[in-house]
Amino acid sequence: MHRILVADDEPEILKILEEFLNKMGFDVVTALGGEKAIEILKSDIKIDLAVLDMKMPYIKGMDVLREMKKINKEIPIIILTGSIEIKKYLDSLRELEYTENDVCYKPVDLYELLSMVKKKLGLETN
Amino acid sequence: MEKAKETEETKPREQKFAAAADVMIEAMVDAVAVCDFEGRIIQANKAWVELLGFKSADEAIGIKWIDYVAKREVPKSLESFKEILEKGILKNLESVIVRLDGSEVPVLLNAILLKGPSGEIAGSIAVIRDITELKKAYVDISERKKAEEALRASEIRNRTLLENLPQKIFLKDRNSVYISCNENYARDLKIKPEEIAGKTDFEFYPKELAEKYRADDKRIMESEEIEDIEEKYIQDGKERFVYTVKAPVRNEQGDVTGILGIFWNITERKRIEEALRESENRYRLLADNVTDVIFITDLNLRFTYVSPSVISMLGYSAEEVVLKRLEEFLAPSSVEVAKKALGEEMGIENNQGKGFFRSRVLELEIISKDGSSKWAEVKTTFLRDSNERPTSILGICRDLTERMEAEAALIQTNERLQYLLSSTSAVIYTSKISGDYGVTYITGNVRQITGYEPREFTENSSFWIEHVHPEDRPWILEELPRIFEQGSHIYEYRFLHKNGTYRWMRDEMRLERDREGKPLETAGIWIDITERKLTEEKIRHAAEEWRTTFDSITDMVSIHDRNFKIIRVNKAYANFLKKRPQEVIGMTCYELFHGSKEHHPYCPHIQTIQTKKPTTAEFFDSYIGVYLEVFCSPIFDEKGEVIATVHIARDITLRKGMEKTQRLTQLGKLVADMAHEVNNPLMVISGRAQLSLMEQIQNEVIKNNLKIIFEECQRARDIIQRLLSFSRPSKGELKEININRSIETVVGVVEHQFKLAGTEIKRNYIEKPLPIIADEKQIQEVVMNLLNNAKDAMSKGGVIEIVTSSEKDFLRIDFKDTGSGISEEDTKRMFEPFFTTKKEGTGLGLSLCYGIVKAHGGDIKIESKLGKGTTVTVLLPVKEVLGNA
Repeated sequence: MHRILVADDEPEILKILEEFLNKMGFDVVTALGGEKAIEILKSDIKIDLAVLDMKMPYIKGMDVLREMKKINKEIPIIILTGSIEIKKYLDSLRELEYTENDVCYKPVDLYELLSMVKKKLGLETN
Repeated sequence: MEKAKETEETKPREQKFAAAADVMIEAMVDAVAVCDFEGRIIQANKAWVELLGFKSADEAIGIKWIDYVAKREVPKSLESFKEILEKGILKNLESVIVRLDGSEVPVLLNAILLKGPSGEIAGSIAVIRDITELKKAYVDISERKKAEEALRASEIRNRTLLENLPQKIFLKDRNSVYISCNENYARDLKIKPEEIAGKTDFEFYPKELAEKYRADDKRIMESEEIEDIEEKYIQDGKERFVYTVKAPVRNEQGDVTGILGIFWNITERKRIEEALRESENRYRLLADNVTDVIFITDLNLRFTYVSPSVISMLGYSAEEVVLKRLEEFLAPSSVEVAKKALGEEMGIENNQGKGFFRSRVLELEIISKDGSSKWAEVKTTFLRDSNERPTSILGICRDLTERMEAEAALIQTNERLQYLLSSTSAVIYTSKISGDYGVTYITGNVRQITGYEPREFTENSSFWIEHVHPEDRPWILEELPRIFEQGSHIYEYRFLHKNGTYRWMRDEMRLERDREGKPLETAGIWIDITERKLTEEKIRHAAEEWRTTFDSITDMVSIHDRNFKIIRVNKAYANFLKKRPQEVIGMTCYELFHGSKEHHPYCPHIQTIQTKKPTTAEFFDSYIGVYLEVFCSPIFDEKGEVIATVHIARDITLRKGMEKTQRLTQLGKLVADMAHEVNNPLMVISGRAQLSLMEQIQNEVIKNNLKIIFEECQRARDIIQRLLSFSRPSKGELKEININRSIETVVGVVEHQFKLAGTEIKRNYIEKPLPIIADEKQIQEVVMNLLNNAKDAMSKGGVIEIVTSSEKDFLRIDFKDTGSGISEEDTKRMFEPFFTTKKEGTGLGLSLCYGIVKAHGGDIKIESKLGKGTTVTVLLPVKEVLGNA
């Protein structure tokens, strides 16, 4: 069973994503905020994929991504954002070897997210 | 003269009297001689000397009087002399004397014996009268008695005698009854001579006159004295004056028996005398009344007459002056002047061709009675006797004090003027009129102005021209001769100051001519005008600066009179209108800018004139197609009325566009910030709806509601996405693109869908379009938006024509639809965010396009007509332009 890390500073969003992904057969670890996410990533918990909100208080999505690169975790990532502001970060994302295709806009169609997850995990090609 | 006065004062009284007697004797008409006891003449008067024919009295002295008597008369005379010794007096002895030249003169002799204090005979005084005339009257009348007898004896003889005389002669008896008269008198009386006998004066003359004649006759006959009478006489009814000599007529016994009269007309003489007296009176009256003092002195400068006006001049009365010496009322220096003048004049008298009426004017200082002195002008001339020898001096004396004071004041004024001149900067000079125009005179203040001494100018005749600035020298020398035509000229030139600097001088010169009009010299005024020149320079500079500034202002500056007419504009103003400044002067701003014949109702010019305060206005002028900001300020006259306004206008079209962009950018940022906040709750709603749908929901209504909730959340997301995207043009995706190809990509995507909706797309592309540098995706977004708008405008289908063309430095893309069109009002608002005419529109499409096109340095415009369609034009700069930018 694949384990997915979901990080957001909105508890309600974490709950929805956890509930949906569980139903869809994934193990879900939630992190309320960037710090929490980094803490989990640094731990021994095995993470197969991360869904990160880009705009979080304290440690922002981009910082989390940089931290992940630091701890050398080659984990597939889906960037979830409520803002088109992400375009500002496209250059930074590219530096970290991510593209616009890794971005998912809120409010996301859960099934669209699911297909992205499966695609990243190589579970199905649709 | 002084000496004479002294002796006169010291003489004893007797001598004084004697002197007076001398004078009297001298003045007598009869010849008088004083003889010593031997009958020798010791003194003779003028008449004696003349009668005897001597040249002077001296010649007559020392001769015995008897030696003058004709020899045949000597015995009678000696007989008479005895009579004198006896009686002490000799009366009326007829005798004849012999003049020096041998001629005989009949005389009547009277003499008195002079006795000494003790009664001894001291001498005698003889008085003789020439009776030649009287003798003539009687023809041969050497013997007077014989004549008388003859007269009485023969009337005929008498008449013969009488008729031959030019005088009028008559003979009356004791009762004044005419006995006879001569022809001459009878003629006057208009009778024959023989008719006179028995008549009286009452028959010929008015009663008064006749009575007077009778009274005279009576008196003479009683006194037995001959009388000379000047009296009235009537001839031809006219009043005449006659000179009458009446003598009593005696018989042999010596009794008076009648009267003899002889008279002649003296009317003419009388008239002359009368006129003379009148004129004398007149002159005296004049002399007495004039303020000038008129005087007469003798040749010793002793006053004989002084007019009464002297009292006001000197304080002395005329009588006082006559008794005074010249020195008493003339300052010593003036006495000298007067004496010297007299000496000179007397000298001139000896010259040939001297003027008899010449006069001489002296200025003399006279001393008043009160001791004060005043100046008088004295005009003198000689009075002459019949031989034209000077006898006295006539003078007219005028008080000069006032004139002298005026002259003194004038001198003072001149000094003051001199002072003023030397204390001001005006130098006065005279100079030659040829050659080097050398200075001949120059005032001392030239020192202050040029640093040079006046003599430096006058001693070196080329001093002036050598110090004129070398640049000014040629033209001055060229122009100087023009003074002969013009008479005067003004130059301004630079002159080298002694301190080495050049001073600006104003030279105002005038040509002076002599009486014949020949040029003499130039006289001029020389003023240092350096300060003025500097000020002028500053003013000119300031004006230049102002003009340059005025023209350098990129805003359009114009000055308008109250009627909007342009008085002045700067370059920017003219350039904006693509005209020359002088072409717009006199035109109005509303003609030029609004293309109208009337001013705009909200014109700031009107408001400024009304309120007298600066006004600003901002408006879009559709005539010239620009946004203008106009700042209007009043210009006041001295009364505080607005006479003109200054307009500063600025084309703010660009700023307006920027403002719009800025507004949109700000809005975009707001939206971006908001989007995140909104999207999270939307995410929750959308997610919950999807999760709910995963449950086994039997109720279809609920199921459908959840679907709608989810879909609307997705739509909200799209709206927000679009809102965000137009405000964020990408910078990273710029590349060279072929506009035709970019458009075609979009058209390819939508064409099928459009066809289904009944919309046909026509392409009208330019061949080989110039490349543009752009974010292709954004440009395609613009194309997509504009195509969608066009399609939406044609709800019943239609044609969209895409035209690409080249316009100057821009590439032009027109999207023409055949849709419903947009109202003019809406057109203006089309680019505003959220403005939409569509039910389903977000109102962001065109705003997005506007933002993208402007960000690319291009422009976007809409032209539309309701019911006919709309054309949206996009202009994008071609590569070269961008590259240069």
